[in-house]
Amino acid sequence: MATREAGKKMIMLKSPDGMEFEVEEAVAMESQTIRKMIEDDCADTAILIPNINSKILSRVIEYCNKHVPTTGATGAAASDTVAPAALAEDLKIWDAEFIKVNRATRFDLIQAASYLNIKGLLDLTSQTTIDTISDNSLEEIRSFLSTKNDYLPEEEQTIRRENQWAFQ
Amino acid sequence: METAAVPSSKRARLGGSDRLSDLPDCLLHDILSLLGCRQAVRTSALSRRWRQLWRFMTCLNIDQREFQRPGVPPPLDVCQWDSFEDMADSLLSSSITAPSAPLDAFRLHLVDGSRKTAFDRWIRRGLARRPAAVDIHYGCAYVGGVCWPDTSRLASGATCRLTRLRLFGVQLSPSFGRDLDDQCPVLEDLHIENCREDFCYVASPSLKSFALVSPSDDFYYRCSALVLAFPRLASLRLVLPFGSHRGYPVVTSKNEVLASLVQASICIKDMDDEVQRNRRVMKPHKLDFLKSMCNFLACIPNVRNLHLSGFTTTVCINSSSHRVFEI
Repeated sequence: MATREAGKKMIMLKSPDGMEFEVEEAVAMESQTIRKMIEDDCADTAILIPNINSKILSRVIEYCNKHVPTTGATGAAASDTVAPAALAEDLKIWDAEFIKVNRATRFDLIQAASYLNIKGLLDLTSQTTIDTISDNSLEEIRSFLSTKNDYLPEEEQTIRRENQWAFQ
Repeated sequence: METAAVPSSKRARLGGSDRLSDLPDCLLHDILSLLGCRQAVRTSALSRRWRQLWRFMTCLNIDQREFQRPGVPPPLDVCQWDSFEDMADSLLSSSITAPSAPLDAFRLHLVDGSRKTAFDRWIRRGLARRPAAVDIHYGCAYVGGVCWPDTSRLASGATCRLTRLRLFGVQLSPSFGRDLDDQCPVLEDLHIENCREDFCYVASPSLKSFALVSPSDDFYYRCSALVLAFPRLASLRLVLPFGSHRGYPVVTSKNEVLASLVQASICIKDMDDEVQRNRRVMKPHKLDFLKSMCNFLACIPNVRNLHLSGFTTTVCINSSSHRVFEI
């Protein structure tokens, strides 16, 4: 494992399209999947992240960089001393900017967050998706999701009757 | 995981824009859980792919507001009430959703309590799904419409996974505080707001965060001081009304120190009107309350972040040993 700054362990992450990203171990460990690999000593040289292309992986790393708990000079978590409310507000604004991406990228991020097990990123991407479909009519949601209605008319009628309260 | 490998032909067939339906079921279950139940069930009519997904939601959000017309305040009309009751009855009957899987969260949000209905039964049924988080919000004018159940009588283990409990406007029985101790072994976060609190003792060996916002609108008081027994508490928030006639403070069990507490916010609200407040003679109840709250401050010596409001200057000077101090 490479060591750049004193006391800061670096980890190499590789995407399947051949790009390499050197990140601090603490940043990489925002991903519970990678944390487990490191803890199990499966991360000697570089970690190949399957199925997440370099474009998405770089965004994920950007997210982890921002969300890794800040450490003070003593190495203790600083979140106790810095006003937590202000810090949280700052992160919220940052998140809102971060998630301003097209839908395809957002679904790639959902899958990446799920695979890498990064709860905060999964919550952010899922919630943004939900915000865009809630309070719309079924037709609007279908068109938004590019979902084709493959029910026969009578099937759809049955489904609506089963839970009539939802469709009134 | 096919993120990078979705063929371009497939993208094109799907309109090239959105592939939510392509996500694995387990992710869609979680995403649907963020919706209110009514909206989530409506997705069953989208396409065959979506037909059964809602049945495996990991959170149940039973929310009366989903049946209100936007911008129209409660009460609900007859049709809206009927639909809402049908929804709660069907979602909380054991046959329709996956009953074996414990829930991540159970939420019940009520804005209209005008119809006498089965709120308490729904809470029992929701708890029977062994949720890790429970949030019950009763924001109706009629007080006492929803009661927290006697958990010792519920199906065994109903609250054994409960880590987070938020109650708003709920009636809490005298046994509530002791039941927490016995029935909720992993509870970490407890928030009680605007509730009718008929309990005088609350204990939890695992609790880390506690918030109590006592109701001030009808100036309702507990029967006596509230005794806290939270040996692992790290964060505390109290909002307590008091006045000339009554005022019941918070004390620690046997006046023991809350050693692990690092963050505290305590707000006391003088409910007396201007005339009462300007009387020269301080009413004994009021004085007792203030003294007792002052003693409470002595029981939280390790607090690093303290926010006090409503305290008189005298009280503040007494606790000047705290490092961060905001009034």
